[in-house]
Amino acid sequence: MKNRLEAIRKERGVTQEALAAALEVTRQTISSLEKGRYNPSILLAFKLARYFELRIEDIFIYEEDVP
Amino acid sequence: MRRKTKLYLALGLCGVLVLALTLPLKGCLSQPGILIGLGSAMVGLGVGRFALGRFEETHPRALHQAEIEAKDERNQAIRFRAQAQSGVVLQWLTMAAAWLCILMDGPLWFTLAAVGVFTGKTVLELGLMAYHQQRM
Repeated sequence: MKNRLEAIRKERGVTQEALAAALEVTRQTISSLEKGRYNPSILLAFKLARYFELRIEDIFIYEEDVP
Repeated sequence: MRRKTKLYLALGLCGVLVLALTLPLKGCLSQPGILIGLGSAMVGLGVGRFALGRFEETHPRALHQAEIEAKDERNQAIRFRAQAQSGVVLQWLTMAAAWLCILMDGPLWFTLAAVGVFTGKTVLELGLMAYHQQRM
């Protein structure tokens, strides 16, 4: 699953450390998510969406929807 | 100092006391080793948990970070995967040891024990699968 997490995070001027602290996960998890190496649980996906005040599908892109 | 930390210190001190009692009571006891074992366990547990408690009190940020790392879902997934894979590797190594024992004309008890461990792991795995299937 692809995602726009890195772009959104940089757009908002949030560091990986700050995002990790806000979501109570490690910085490595944020890094892995951004690189697409790790797919989050639905709970973490919701937390991310709430943090950025977006919908989950605005951050995560289902592979079949990738143009 | 937190109450729990104090309790662990007290446990450690009780352990020292139990160890100290071993010498004068040596002649009266049939199994002085029990006291030594009990005292050592109390000292180990008490001192270890006391040191951990003190560290937690003096380094709250490190404690918070450790909690985050322990609860982190990616870390948990990594841990569960590693545990499962190591279990499978060990299970098949046990079976390989059983085969090796048969081929080398080794003792029967070892082969049976290895097969028993292999079967036990498989049965436990199936039981846990059934348990989790009902819960999920």
